[in-house]
Amino acid sequence: MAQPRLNLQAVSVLLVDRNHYSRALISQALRGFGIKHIAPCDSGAGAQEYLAQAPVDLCLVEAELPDMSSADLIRAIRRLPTAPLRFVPTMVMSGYTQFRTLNAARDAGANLVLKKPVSPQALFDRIHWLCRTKRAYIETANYVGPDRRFHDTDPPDSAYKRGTDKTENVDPQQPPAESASS
Amino acid sequence: MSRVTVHFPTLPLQEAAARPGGITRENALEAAQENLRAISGEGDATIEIALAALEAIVGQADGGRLTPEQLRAVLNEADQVVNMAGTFGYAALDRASRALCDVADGLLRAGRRDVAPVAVHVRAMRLFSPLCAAPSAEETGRVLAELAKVAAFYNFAPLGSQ
Repeated sequence: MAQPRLNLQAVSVLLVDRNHYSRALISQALRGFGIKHIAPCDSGAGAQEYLAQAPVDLCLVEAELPDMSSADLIRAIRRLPTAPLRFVPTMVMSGYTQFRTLNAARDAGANLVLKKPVSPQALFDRIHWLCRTKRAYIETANYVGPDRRFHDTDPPDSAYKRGTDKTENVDPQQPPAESASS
Repeated sequence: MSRVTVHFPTLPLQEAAARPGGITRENALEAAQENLRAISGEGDATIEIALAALEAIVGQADGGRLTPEQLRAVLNEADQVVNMAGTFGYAALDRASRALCDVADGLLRAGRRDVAPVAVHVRAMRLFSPLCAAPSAEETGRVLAELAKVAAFYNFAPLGSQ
């Protein structure tokens, strides 16, 4: 079977990381995926400045920037007035010492979190997921970002169930036996 | 009552990626690995710079104590080494630098300033650095076991568990 293909040639990426070598590593991986437009920034202020001039299709942001946290940057992006840019898919990359900041990044409206060191496999799979998955965006007074709820559906009744899970001839319209008898 | 709006935006990323042509996962990963190999030498140099910075911080300790700013700088440098060591598969260096992150973060949280546990981790990292001769598996195991004893002595849990 032919593998699915991803055309990333026209995609522009904003890459925000304080370490220049880390930026170089991720840029090299992105170029390998076919991405040609990569805008590297080393600070949150630099990223905001860039976004004011040019729209991007994907943001990769380190969890802890020298001048602000990724949560602050993402919150600022999600509150932009222009529609395509405020919903831009945003991935937060977290180093070993930044675990504690991850909840803040998610609550600020990050789409995904990726743990450093970033492998090309993990990076490609996350980008692939972002490209293929439709996700609603929620806007409230204190949150703008992707819907954080994922549907967790059970397997179909006919397959993959344990014997103990089986319920025979249950009519969903009828109350359970216990309450029916009372 | 607060207002909630649900958007289903058309994302330029998804539109662009769905265009004909493009690259398969296998080809993309192959090309990415090749690009990374081309700059791997710089990775060793970056590790060396971070190690030198760590050694300098340890050398600046006053009366066997580090300031909170110095401990935060240790965390930052060790974090860089974790990233580089993980990227290029230096397993022993990766474990030693993660252990240093645990110790530096633990010291900061506990309000302690001892330089000794930091210094011993930095020496171990130097031993495992890519520019030094690689120690044997047995020696590596012994050094890492001793580092684990330091964390156990202070009762510091790994960062990921907090």
